[in-house]
Amino acid sequence: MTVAPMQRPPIRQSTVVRSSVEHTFEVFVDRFDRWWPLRTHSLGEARVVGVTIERRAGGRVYETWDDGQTRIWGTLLAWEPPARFVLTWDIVQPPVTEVELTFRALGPALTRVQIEHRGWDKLSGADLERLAERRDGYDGGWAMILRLFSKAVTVD
Amino acid sequence: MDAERPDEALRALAEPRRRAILQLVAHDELSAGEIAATFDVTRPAVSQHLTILKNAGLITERRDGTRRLYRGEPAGLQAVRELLDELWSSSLDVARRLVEADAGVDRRRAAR
Repeated sequence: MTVAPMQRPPIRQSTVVRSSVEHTFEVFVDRFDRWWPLRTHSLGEARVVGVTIERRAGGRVYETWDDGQTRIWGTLLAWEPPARFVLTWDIVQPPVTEVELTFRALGPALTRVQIEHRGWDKLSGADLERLAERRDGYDGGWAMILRLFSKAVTVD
Repeated sequence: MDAERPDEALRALAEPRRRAILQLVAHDELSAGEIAATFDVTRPAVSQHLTILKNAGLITERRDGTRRLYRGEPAGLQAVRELLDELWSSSLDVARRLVEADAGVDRRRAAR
């Protein structure tokens, strides 16, 4: 099995919000579990009732299930309100993939928010193979996506 | 790329058994019979799953005599990528509306 030299660029999306950068940052963080795509980007999917962000560099980000169990998503590599924050995505091992949100004031009441989902290229072919073969009881959307990524970067 | 593809891929991937089938054919080309033998479901049910995966561009079908062989289609990943883009895009849109609705409340409060 060899790995095709396939580019795995970050996934980026952005939006422009009609509010101040401080207010936008606050709402994005405070209501994280209202907008984050839990269906694919969580472990418990439908069981997730909340997401906690420990607001400091080194703080943890974790989901809480309807029965009170918690599952760690990752650690905040950067916490710079209201400009940006970066979290590692430890659900994927090794934890080399990360998600960054940046908030840039375009005006007093206009903010650009960008989300970048990166680190795909840091996963080795062996990592992807292992991830693709992992069956640990979680069949979350994320695992599914990774399996598909692994499929795309490996050729017989 | 067909504009319908990300939606089709999403629907195709929403079913756990279809994800399991995709995993099976990721590295090996298998016949419908071999795939069906792996699952506790009827052959017609497997055929239906395969058709959905094929229409979503996630697998390819090849005929070998009377057998139909299936394998994962790496290009189908493009659809998944678009799906992720769409996912983040719609999530950000939800977040944007949350902020703007909240800002509206603040403005009304300030106006009192």
